[in-house]
Amino acid sequence: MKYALRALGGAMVTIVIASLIVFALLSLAPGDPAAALAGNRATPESIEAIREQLGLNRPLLVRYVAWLGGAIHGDFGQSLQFRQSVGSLLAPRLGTTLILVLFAFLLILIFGVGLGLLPSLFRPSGWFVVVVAGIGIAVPTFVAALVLIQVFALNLGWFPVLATSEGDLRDRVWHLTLPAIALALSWTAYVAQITRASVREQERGEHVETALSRGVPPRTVFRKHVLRNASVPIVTIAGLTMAGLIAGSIVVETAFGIGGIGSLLVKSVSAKDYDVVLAISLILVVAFVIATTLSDLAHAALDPRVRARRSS
Amino acid sequence: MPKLNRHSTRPAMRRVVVVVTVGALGLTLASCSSKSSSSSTSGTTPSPTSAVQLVDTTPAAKGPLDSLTWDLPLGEPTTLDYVKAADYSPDMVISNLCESLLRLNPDYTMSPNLATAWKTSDDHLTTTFTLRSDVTFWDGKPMTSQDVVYSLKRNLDPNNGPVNGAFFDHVKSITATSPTEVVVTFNTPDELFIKEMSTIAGDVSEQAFTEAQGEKYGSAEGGVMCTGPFKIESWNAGQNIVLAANDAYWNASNKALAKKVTLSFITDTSTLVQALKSGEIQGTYEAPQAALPALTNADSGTVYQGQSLQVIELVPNSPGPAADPKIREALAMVIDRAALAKAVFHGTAEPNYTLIPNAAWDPSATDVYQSAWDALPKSTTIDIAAAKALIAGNPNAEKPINLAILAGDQTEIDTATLIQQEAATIGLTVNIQQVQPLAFSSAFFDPEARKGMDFLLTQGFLDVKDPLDYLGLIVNADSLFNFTHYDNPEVTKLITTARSTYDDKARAELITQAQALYEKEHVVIPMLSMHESLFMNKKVTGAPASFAYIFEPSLASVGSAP
Repeated sequence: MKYALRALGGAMVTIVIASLIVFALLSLAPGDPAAALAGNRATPESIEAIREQLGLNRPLLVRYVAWLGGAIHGDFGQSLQFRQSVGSLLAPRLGTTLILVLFAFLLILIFGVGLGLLPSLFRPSGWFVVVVAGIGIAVPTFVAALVLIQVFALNLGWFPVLATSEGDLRDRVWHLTLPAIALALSWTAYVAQITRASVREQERGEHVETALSRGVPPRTVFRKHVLRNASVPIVTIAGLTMAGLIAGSIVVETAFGIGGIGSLLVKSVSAKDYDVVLAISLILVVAFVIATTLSDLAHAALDPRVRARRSS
Repeated sequence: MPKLNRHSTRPAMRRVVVVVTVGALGLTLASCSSKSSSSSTSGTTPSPTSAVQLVDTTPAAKGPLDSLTWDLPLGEPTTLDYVKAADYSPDMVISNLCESLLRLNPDYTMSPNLATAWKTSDDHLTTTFTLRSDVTFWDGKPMTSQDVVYSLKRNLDPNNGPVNGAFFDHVKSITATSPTEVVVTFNTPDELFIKEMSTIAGDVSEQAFTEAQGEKYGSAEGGVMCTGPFKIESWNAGQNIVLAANDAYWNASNKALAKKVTLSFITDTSTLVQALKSGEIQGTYEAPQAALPALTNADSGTVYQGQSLQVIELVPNSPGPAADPKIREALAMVIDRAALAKAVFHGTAEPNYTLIPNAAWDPSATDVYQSAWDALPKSTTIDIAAAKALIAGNPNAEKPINLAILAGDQTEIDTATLIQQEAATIGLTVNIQQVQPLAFSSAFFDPEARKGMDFLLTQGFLDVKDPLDYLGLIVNADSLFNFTHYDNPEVTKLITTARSTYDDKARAELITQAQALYEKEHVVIPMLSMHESLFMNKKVTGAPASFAYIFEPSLASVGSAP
């Protein structure tokens, strides 16, 4: 309980500091959002009217405090460029990004861990895993996206080029398959390498050798001693992966024309759309905190030493 | 004038796009434009320097469509309020939803629309619009003269942040004199006004709905209430806008052929090309230049080129070397516009040597404009020695010139690089300064924001086919984009007189006289006039191919191909 409270407090402080930094940096960037909104024949008067209307004339600190006050009550303000509430702007996009990230995360867990375990189960596959993981890490996400679209959407026609869909969840998942693969690729390779290294380390451990020499069946040894111990670093990496995926979705969303929060963040930063940028930063921080907290908890569940340290 | 961010949202990834094959473009276009000449409404505009034939419309559609997918030129619109719309995407969507008093046709003629007739008094100080009485908004309520007055007046209220407020500069009053009559009076005659009523500035929206929505009018939450051939079915933020045909549309001959239109917001060039090739998206205007070689070779559809009122030019700033007319003249002499049009714009642009694109000429005064155009100096052959001689010993020639362009825009980078190389041949040093979109649009309004920039690479367009629409923004002493404080009372007088001159020929005389004066000073360095580039899937047809698409219900005529 105490641990949970401390995590929550830490997250709060992180959020306030992060949002203040984002706000300050954004205000330092050149350009006036009102000038962009005012259009191509704007007069200084109409730009001034828009600035006034959007509250851009108030001092920076006043604007930040007003935003923070609203955010505490669940009101994340107004988008400057879309002139609608940030909540209604983000809700549909957040859903899309969430499905994409969870989908990619699932792929990473299945294929990353699977690939990492393969050499232990089937020894000759070792070199294969190393090569595949190497390629996976080396290929930039946007190149992967282009290649995947060319091969699986244009040449084979198995998947659509565009990832947006108005259909049910199944249809949306089908549309998001290629983006999820593109997003998952390098992380899968990374998780595979970590899994491989960690399993290997355990396999060489004294406790494993002892167990084997005592005649414990290799399958049991692998499951109870190798896998369980090896899973600690894997879970830690998985937590980081989850947070990284949300950031990585920016590239994939652009390449596949997905209207998620990543592509919105890019657009909002260049338009100095303060409230939207702050809200998305907030989501990223919260997601990061949740992901790392979950992996901490899993860590504790898997490793008795951590549990013991915490309760003492 | 400056449509600054034309490419800004189709970002840097375009450089990964496909192989360049310039030659194929001309062939495909020639073959596709010959097809369209059979269409009854299509006209052709001869293009003076290139082999490409421009078309106003694509072949007429054969029948209706269940659904159509189309990509918007510049990503998701930030508003669908006709008063606030300042960009290609919102203009295009709004013009399919809302209607203006006059209709703009693909060949840039005007015809009756919500107004059946308009009459300007002999002193040109009063214009009377006669309205249709059978028009209803999507909610079934009839359009009244009150709605029209309210809608026009919204352009005058600074609290609305009106984009086209300047169109109403000469207006004294707007009043409803009967349920079907609206009278506009003017302080001074303004021949532009009636033409501008065929743009979104003349759009009519339902007063009750607009007032009820208040600030939210035109947003994804608030929506709009208009009379056009389509209505909004849904606006899924970040994904698409879905339009549904308006079954109760008053204009039987222009009813929407597609039952449903899904408008996507793809801004990445390679994604767009792939979606157009696969047929998932069936069409787009403003096809990105970098994508043209790939699209021209696509089996899924055809690239059409139409007349456009878009120009690309270098707008000078002061103080600095660009404020010196001699420097501007020398630079203008060595920019190889034909090479630029071919290599960077893949044949979708033509060399231009004056502020106004030829496409803006009044058709009835073509001869006047043509002889003025013929008299303009044109650097069709680059005379480096003459340009060098012009700036020999000029201290401004020693100073480096900062050329501001939109950051990450490959077409602008290529253009600037070409200019940089050509300037170097006469000893001018050009530094390319990439500016973020927001800072770039600020630079046009804020002298502080454009400090240190000597030229701004500008993509601009005229709203209506009339040189005055553009001239007033640059060449008058108090013009918004006259950064070098060019002040010639003679030019100002000619242009002011021209705006009150209703006879096309007489006006053309005044405009070309002014042109001779301001071009002598090279108020801007004109470079290219653009064509509209439309890509359309072979299964559909009927879209207008000219730049007039931004102000007409462009998608209503799109139906199935024969």
